Amino acid sequence: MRGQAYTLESVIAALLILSALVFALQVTTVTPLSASTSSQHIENQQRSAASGALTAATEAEALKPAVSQISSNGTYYGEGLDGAYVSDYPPGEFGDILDRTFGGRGLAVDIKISYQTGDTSWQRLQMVQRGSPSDNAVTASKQLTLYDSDPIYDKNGDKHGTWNGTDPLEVNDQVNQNSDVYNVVTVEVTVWRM
Amino acid sequence: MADVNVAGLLGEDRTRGQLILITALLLAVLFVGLALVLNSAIYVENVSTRDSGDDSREVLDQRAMFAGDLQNTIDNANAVTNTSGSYDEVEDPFKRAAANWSSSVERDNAKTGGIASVRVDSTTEGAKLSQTNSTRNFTDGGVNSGNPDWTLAENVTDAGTFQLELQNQSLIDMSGGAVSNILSDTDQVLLGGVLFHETFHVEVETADGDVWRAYMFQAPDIGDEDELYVYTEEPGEDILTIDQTVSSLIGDSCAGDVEGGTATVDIRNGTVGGSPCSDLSYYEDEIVGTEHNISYRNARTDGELDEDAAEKIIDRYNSDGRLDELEDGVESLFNLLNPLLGLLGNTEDELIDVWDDVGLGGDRASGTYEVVVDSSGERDNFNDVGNSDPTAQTVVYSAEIVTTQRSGSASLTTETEVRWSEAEP
Repeated sequence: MRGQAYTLESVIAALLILSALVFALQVTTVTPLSASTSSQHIENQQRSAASGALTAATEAEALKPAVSQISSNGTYYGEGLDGAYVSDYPPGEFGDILDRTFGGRGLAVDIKISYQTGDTSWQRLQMVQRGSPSDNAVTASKQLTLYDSDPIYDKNGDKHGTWNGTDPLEVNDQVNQNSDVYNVVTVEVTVWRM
Repeated sequence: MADVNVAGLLGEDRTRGQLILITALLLAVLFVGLALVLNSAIYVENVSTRDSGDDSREVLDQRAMFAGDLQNTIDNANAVTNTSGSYDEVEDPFKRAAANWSSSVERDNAKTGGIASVRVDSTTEGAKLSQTNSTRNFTDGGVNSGNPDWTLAENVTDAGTFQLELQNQSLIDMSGGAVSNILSDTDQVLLGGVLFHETFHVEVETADGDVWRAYMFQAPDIGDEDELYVYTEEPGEDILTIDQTVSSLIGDSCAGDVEGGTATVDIRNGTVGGSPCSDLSYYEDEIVGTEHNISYRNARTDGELDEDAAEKIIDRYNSDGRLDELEDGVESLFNLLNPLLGLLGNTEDELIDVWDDVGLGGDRASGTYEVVVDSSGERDNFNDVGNSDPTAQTVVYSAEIVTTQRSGSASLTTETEVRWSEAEP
């Protein structure tokens, strides 16, 4: 009898320790800032890197030529669907900047060009597609103004016309017809960890 | 006694059993306490590394972006129009482009829930006055073509770009040429300031009547042959009464390196040949902001001294008590140059004659220049864009914009002045 009472007390003691341990472990908070591949710090960092890459490209005057390297029916010169670049970055200095910022770090990049086609309608053109963004992807965007007199480039980087009188990224807005501004587009860069 | 032993045995066992329980309880409390401490540490780290004020940074970044975009719009309007016609020809396209751009920007921002509106309040007319042929002299063009003394622009408040690229060989040679073949050192004392009378210079006159001049010359024999010298004269000084030697004048001037035969004098930024020149920064410090006129003088000279200048020189040396020195020097030069003639009675006439004989007439400068002013410029002195030098182009100099932004918790309304990129110093 006594032996059973001792056993019972030991078992209760063990259970008490165990449940306290489990409780303590469960109660420890895992916040968005805890170290993991989906931490908020990493997301902020990626957003800064994307924003910095866009600013650097604008300062180096590489963003507009990259956006302007487009065919007359509105597709880029990549191998993917609708001309998006799928296996590497766009040619030219913009692609170099993206490669230096994101290449070799396990980060994937998607770039979309968003432009207005009317008073309240927008369209999106895919420029770089490296997969579907994960749940923890971040986006940085920058506005770019295209003028009627700005040149557009062909596959080899040679000029073959100006924006004026072409179809891609056009605004079907009567107002824009009488000024030098062709359209104001937004370049959106989405980054996530693969 | 055996009972007591048994009882004692029982008691110890029971105590030991309770000890295990108590230890277990203590351990449990310890674990919970540790968890509590760990939680507080994590919470504090979370709160302290929170990113606050992001909204205001975004708004400021966006405003800088607006200024940059609007500057691009001004650049585009000026480059595409490229005319010398009326200001409306350039201002209209700019205003339309700015209106379209701002409505696109407003709609883009509305998509993400922010409010951003940009309005162009007013624009300032400007002119780009330039010469691109580096072998041409600095006389004027337009209706009065060929004038050596002429005004580029009146009522200028700020010349955003004010630079001249001069052919060093075309400038007057302060130390050599016709002058040094004849003069000895003593004579150079007398003629140092006088030589400036023949030198090409930029003259800036403010509304108060103050005149500031920048003389440009070369001095290969006394100074360095690969340097271009700039001597500035502040309001109140009179160059004709300087009585220094040429070498000390060179010492008081700014020197700039000549490369490929030319050197650039940047008056707005105060540099000569790339090196800073504190004398030239007088323009930026004292003159910018007030109304002033910009002129060129002595683009070509006829090598003659007029009576007023000769009189002034003689008076100066007279008041210094050095009239004898001047007379002796002029007489010996006169005899050198006119060995067969006797001396003339009048020192003034001899001075004028000697000057004429030394033969310093001709073009005093050639090269290119670019002056971007915020007034329309003296169009009579310029040709239209596309014709021969010098040309004047009508441009939008700057625009005043009012930006209103609201994003999240930050709201900002500001007025900024955005300048044409070539009008930025």
